[in-house]
Amino acid sequence: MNATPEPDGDLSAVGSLALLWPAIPDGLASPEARSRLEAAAGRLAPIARIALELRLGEGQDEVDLHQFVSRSAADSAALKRYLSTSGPAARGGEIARRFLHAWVDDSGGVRTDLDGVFLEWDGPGSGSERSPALFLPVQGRHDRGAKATVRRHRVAGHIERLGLAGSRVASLLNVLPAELSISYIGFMLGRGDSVRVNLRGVRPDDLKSVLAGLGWPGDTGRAADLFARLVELTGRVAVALDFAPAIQPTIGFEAALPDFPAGEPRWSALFERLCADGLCTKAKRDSLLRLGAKLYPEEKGQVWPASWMAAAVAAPPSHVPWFERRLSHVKVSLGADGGVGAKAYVSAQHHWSREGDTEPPRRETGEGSTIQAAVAGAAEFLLAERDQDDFWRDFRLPNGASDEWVTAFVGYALATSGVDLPEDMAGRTIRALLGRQRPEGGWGYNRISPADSDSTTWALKFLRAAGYRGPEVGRANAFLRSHLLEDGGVSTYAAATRISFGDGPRDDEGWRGGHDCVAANAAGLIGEPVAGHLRSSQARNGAWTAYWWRDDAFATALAAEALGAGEARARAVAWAARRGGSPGAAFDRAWLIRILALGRAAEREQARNLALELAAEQRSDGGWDAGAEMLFPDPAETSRRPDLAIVPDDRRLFTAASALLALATASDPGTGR
Amino acid sequence: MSAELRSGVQGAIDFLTGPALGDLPRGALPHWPDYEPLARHARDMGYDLSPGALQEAFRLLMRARLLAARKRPGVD
Repeated sequence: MNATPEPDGDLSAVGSLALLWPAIPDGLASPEARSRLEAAAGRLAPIARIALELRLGEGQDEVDLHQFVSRSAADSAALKRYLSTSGPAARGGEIARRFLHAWVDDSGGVRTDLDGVFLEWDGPGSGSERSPALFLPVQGRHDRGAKATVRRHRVAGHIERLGLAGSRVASLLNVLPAELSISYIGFMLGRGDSVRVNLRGVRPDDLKSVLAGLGWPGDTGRAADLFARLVELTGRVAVALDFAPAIQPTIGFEAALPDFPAGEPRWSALFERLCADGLCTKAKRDSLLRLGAKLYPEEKGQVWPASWMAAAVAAPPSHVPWFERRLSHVKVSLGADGGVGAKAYVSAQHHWSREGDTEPPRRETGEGSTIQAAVAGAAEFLLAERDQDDFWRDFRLPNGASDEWVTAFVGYALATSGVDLPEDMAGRTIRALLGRQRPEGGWGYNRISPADSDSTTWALKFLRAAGYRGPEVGRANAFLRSHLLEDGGVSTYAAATRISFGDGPRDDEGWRGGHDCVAANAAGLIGEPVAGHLRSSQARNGAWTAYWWRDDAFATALAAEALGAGEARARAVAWAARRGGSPGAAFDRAWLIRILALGRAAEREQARNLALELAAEQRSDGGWDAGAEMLFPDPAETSRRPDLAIVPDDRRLFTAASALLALATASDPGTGR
Repeated sequence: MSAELRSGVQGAIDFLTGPALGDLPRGALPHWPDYEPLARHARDMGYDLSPGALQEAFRLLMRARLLAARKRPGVD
């Protein structure tokens, strides 16, 4: 809601507990544990961003406390006041205290370099207070190659300079293979000299060799099986390894999901598995799946900590606070002796702004190679965003994120982009998708959704682009054709497809009707009679009206490409030329570029100019602002309504893949597919 | 100021938006949704406010900020 800095005001972490406790039953944190945590939170710097680390097994109620200090000026000011009044460090806490002073002063650029620092206290308030562990971010998801090396080097420099672990960490960071992405490094200052390294993006096939290479003394096969199960359930699992200085016997797997359990069914699947394995009680599972909430002080009946109330009133009027409690991630630990345990991490954070995360800055590229550089950057972005089970995931619907449909689309964009891709990219994507093909031959939005014609079309287009010709293709084509309607249109869901709604049977005539955005996609594979249907359903303005999208550019581009040269395509090109100069989301402009590239020299020139603009908007991570505005109509709605809520591609993959397709087209001077 | 303006929700809005809160030292208020100490401070300042009035006044103040922000161009 505002871009101004956070107000400088003390916000006690006790307030976070006050708004968290109503969602935490005694089984998760006993009254004694709560009292200890409240006392400990009262002694923290007044920064209300905390998390609790909760044991999930029967009879386990130890709770650890975490606090996140961001690099913001407000956090530094609060921390500085705290350090100046909190007296000498507790025994053993001198190193942490020295680090926090350096953080406040940005000594050596440590705060400039790092997004924030996590502080973690084991068993806080128990009377035997130990120094907190410190966790520092190392590489971002998109830091690869030379950029990753620079990041590791800079972080190692801060660690050595501030005396967190001496020079051996620099060698540890060097020993870890460059292809592994180090998300965090932690210093267990209360546990001797132990150092934790969190690795992101390890593929299940690679874990055994990673552990063996580091000399882990446990059963690497068992570890790999456990890890593979977690990756299959959640897609993204970090590997936590402790070194002191050799690798320690207990390793951890941290599974995080991007939404509340109510909007992300994979949380339930993960907890079902933990319960089945005896790692979590059902009561704890039920509590954790229910606790997520966003609390807004402007809502009726919402209580707010009194000290936070005073801070909010004193803040500039552009700030309206809110609070979020949520299940952050789950960690499964495996000992070299085979012992397994599970913990959940619950965050409780005060926020000053209603804005989302800040987008990465614009990419800096040299003139003359802008489009080619943007194509390469987009491909890198998409490759880095692939989950460890080889699926790409995007969008948030009540039935979770899409993986099958999005993977097929992103895979197609990469396979047809002309970019040199990693050797195994296509093969892994093929295997991932074939592993999900339904008995009836199709693919769906995701695992829990029924197969549909549009997801199946993208899967077929990807498989063809990747050169796959196995028997699955024939079954998929037959499934796709089962969606053909009498008038040559194509429905998203066939009459025979069973669609389950959480609240029982519903009128789903709309979803089973003919949709021109779906027909436009399928026409590229089926040809007639779908092409004939499209010629007759083209709107007078030259576009095709989408059912699942707010804008018609995507559907119109797919139809124009499928129909070949002729009057219908020319009218579509004219429509795009009229719209070309208008502002719009990157996603829609990408598809306008694709349409214009089908035109004559003047339109192709317009496509190239739009492509240059699109390339200039690319973010430093290789993506664009989310712009794919999907709709989620009521199943009974047979046509698009203008007032429907938009579902954006929150992970920006659909927009990036579309931009990649557009820029790859525009970079080819012989375009006019 | 009349008694009506120093009590009820309107009185609580006046109190919260006036200078009285600035007199509170850091750490004077509980970190819980407990508005009784704030009501006591208000009484010291000549207001007659219930904890419920303070809670409702705060809600309305935050709601007004939100509505004002949404009227600005570029804010959804």
